[in-house]
Amino acid sequence: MEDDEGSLMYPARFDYYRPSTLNEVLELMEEGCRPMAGGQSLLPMMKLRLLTPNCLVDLGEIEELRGIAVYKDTVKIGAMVTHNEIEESQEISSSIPVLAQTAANIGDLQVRMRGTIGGSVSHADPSANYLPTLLALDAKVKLVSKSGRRSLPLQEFVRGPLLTGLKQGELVEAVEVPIYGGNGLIRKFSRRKADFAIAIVTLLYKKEERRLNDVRVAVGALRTGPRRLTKLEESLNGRMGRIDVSDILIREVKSLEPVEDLHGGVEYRRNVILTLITRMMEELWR
Amino acid sequence: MSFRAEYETSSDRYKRDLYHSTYVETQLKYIGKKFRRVEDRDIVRGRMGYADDIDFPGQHYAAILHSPYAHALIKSIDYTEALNLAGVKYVLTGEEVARLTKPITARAAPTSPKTQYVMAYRKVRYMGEPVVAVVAENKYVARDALDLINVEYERRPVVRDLDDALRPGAPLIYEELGTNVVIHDKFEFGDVEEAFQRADKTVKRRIGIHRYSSTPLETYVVNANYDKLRDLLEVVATDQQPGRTVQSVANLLGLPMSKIRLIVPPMGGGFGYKLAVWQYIAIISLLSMLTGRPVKWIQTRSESLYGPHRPKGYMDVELALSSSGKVTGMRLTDWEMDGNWPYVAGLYSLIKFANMSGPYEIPSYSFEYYSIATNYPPVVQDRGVGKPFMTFALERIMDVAAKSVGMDPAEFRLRNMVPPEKMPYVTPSGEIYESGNFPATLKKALEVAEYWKWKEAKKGRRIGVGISCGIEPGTSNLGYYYLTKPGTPDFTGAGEMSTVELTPDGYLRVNMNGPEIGTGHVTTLKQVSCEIFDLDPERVIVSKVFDSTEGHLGYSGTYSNAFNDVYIGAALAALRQLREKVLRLASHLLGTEPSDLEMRNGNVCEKGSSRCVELSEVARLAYNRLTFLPAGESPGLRIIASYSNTTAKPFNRSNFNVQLTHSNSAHVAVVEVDPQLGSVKILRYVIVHDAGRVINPGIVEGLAIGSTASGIGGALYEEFVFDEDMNNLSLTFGDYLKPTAMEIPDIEVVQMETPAPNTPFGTKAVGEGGAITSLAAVANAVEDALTDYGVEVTSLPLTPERIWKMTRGA
Repeated sequence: MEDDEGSLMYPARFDYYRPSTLNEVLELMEEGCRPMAGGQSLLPMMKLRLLTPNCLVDLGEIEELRGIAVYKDTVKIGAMVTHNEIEESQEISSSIPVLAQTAANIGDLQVRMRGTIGGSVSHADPSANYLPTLLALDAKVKLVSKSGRRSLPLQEFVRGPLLTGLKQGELVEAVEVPIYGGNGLIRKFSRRKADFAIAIVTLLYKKEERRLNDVRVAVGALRTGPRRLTKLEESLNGRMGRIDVSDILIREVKSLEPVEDLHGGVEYRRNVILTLITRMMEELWR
Repeated sequence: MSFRAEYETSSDRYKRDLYHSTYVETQLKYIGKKFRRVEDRDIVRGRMGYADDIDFPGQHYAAILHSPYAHALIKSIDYTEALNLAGVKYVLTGEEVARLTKPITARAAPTSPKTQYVMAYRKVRYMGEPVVAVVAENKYVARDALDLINVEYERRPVVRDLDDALRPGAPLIYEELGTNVVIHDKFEFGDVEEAFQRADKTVKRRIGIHRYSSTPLETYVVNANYDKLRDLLEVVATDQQPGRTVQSVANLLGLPMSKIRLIVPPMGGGFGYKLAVWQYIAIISLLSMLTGRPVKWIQTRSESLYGPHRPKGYMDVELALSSSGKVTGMRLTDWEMDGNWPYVAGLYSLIKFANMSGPYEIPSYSFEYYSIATNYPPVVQDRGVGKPFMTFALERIMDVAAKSVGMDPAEFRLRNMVPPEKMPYVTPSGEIYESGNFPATLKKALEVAEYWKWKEAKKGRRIGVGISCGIEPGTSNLGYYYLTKPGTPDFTGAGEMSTVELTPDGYLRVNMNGPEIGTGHVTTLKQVSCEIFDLDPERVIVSKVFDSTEGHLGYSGTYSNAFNDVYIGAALAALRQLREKVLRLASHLLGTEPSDLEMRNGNVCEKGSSRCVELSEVARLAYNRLTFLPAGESPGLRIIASYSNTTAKPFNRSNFNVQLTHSNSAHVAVVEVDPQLGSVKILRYVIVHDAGRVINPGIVEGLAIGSTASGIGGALYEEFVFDEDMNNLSLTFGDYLKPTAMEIPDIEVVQMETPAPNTPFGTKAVGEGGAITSLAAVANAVEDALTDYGVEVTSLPLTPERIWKMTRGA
């Protein structure tokens, strides 16, 4: 650490706006204002002066960022929908239950009441719960700016730790999640219940006449952003009975690059990923 | 034994004259009841009135720039730009501090370093050491100013660990000492050599403890206002030992103690962490004197995590055993890494030492200790001070020893415990265990926890059962730090002063004049007061504020588990005297002998009759109708009384008692370990706790659970991690992991009561027991669960990654 700026928890001076239309938000962002959703990551970073934006624009009044809309094949979740709303949404629980489970495992209740899906994906913490689940579900991130709208698949949107495809002046408007008609599981291992994951895995599978189909295994808490284990998926698709895929699994996990910190080194985290997936696969053979 | 007779005498005395009636046989209305805490209503509504809630008119704020390096010379400090920032009033550096204050001196070291001031002077010795302080009109400007200060450092090689500190040519933390060994001393009691020569078996392990710490929700707050008009330094601060702080701040700043007024509002937790705030009181007071403004400093969470902490350390523990499973001797070498700070160096070691035999009868032992200076942050007397590590080491080696003689760990412990008939028991070095039934405590814990059933259930699952038996001493007989250092202690014994008053309108006002740290003192004192005066709780006002001008003894404060001995003792002394005076005045009003009177629900009444006089009427006589007072009675109803526990002995290297009451407990933890993930799940946690007579069982249960949660944190979660350069990597609660309610199991507490003969109500220490005893319970259980892997737990915390590595033989 070069200096101890982290020790004093008073943010630097900043301007604060809370407009009521999306247009005003985008105009302020064009001028360099930073958007604030639930503030669960942004504010602590500002207090530690890891971030010192001159200007914040609070998205709290923007109604069009709040809705959950269910279409035939997809669910569109507004950027300002909180983790708690996702956890408790009837629509999401019936169409994509694994997403509700993913949200239910984020942080603690206070974080889930304030934190939002748009804020989480924009922040792109490599260990965030949503990333592997959204990757497995082939979600798209809908972006808006003064110059128009565009949409990016999650794997193109998240480029690495705290790194996204957002351009200057661009805001996450919604996350669009295709409805997956199969089963979903999520396993998170963390030091304490409310901590970021040491390892996190989302597993989706369909079973048609006892035959596995459309298996998707996505791993989070990686330096690279979330990854699908495609070789493992391939070896499972079409299978009817229990098979031993441990060699493929071990090899594929070895190629992953987990984040590393005080709470777990790379080798340990690979072991946890391997253990979680091995245990999750027991569900497949039931 | 001579003091046994003394005890019996004092015990009889206590029975006889608690309030000049047979207290013990009286039906108790308030004591021993689960009285709901009266503090909580204010706490949850934000109306407690903490230090940060108090402002002086024209309040200014300070911010402190801390050292980014663990060991460096300060070559230059340029603060011109900071001083030019609008709103900034003053910038203070170590150069000025060294001119205006005295250096910090060591309490226990025979030779004190001379270059450590309250702010870094020309050299920094830990990451986070205060280097520059700024005063500004508000806290944001003060913080902004820090970014404009340019400090040029020349980095020095760091001292990380034991080997590093002791090797020839090691970088020195204090050049003037010529060594990093601040203290080295050795004590021996009984013939240890012979015990080891005759032993059928010996076991020896090096056991380590890591850096962790209590982290009160409320951090340090200091608000200093030097009042020129009255030539008085007024300070509002979060301080657990204000009696001593007044002395040390007066000494550091060269002020008379009588010109310092220290006020301590209720605190959001203390845990020992708030025994080191005096350093910052000196800095902030200096800033107020230099600027002529009231200056407030509120420590941020990250600043609080810089330190102070508990020290990291190692102990070589060795037991001599007989083939029948008796411990006949013990050798201990303690290596305590006291950080860079001379101030409390050695204290942890000496406290460990006085309690090294735990609940066991060990006829001979020796203790050698080294206090080592390193570039770790300062050390403070955190919850249990050394006893958690001592108990961890002792209860680990007891398991190792049990295994070596092929005995069950429970049976092995029972065989070696001090039997109840030997109470009061004096350890070889002179610590007096005044009462207790250690085997009964353990047997009860085994029964409640279904120990034998779990031992069976183990089969096929990675379940482990761990036992730990601990002594929880209370009431520090201060001055023990002079055991190693020549000279006369500046304080010995343990005591407090208290003021009680029957107000002119008949309310009872009680001032224990000690810091309220959240542990239910107000409620407890209310119970005691109500009991003595038989008064409605609504008519008892208990102060929750310490004010140094209200009268206190030299080391007054809330620490060392002493409250229900010394504060209750002082309050009780004052209440008794006040009660006697009230009875005398009532006797004058009623024309009845005082001995025929009793307190009855806010009145003084003739025994067995309905002839009464209200307390307010007695007060009117005392305060208003002065000409009607009986001859020889002074007006008013205000009593100041003091108390000291008379079992404190003066210090003598061959016979001394460091603490004066000794609660004890047995913990049984049942855990299940997942070796693939390295995770530990606590399936069952049972505490049988004997804290003597209990005034409020609800509060005591809460303290037993809370302190155990802190030990579970130390055993499984909490650790300050330092890198190669001794940078502290755990400066947020995202990296320094406290267990939350989600991690702490449902802890079952069973209370036993073996009254202490040497305290006013027979009470003993409460508040540290779990922190002391739980480390080994968890560690022993984890080791037991991993028997197949042949692992041995000799250090903590047992993080998932470490357990995983242990099971892989790494």
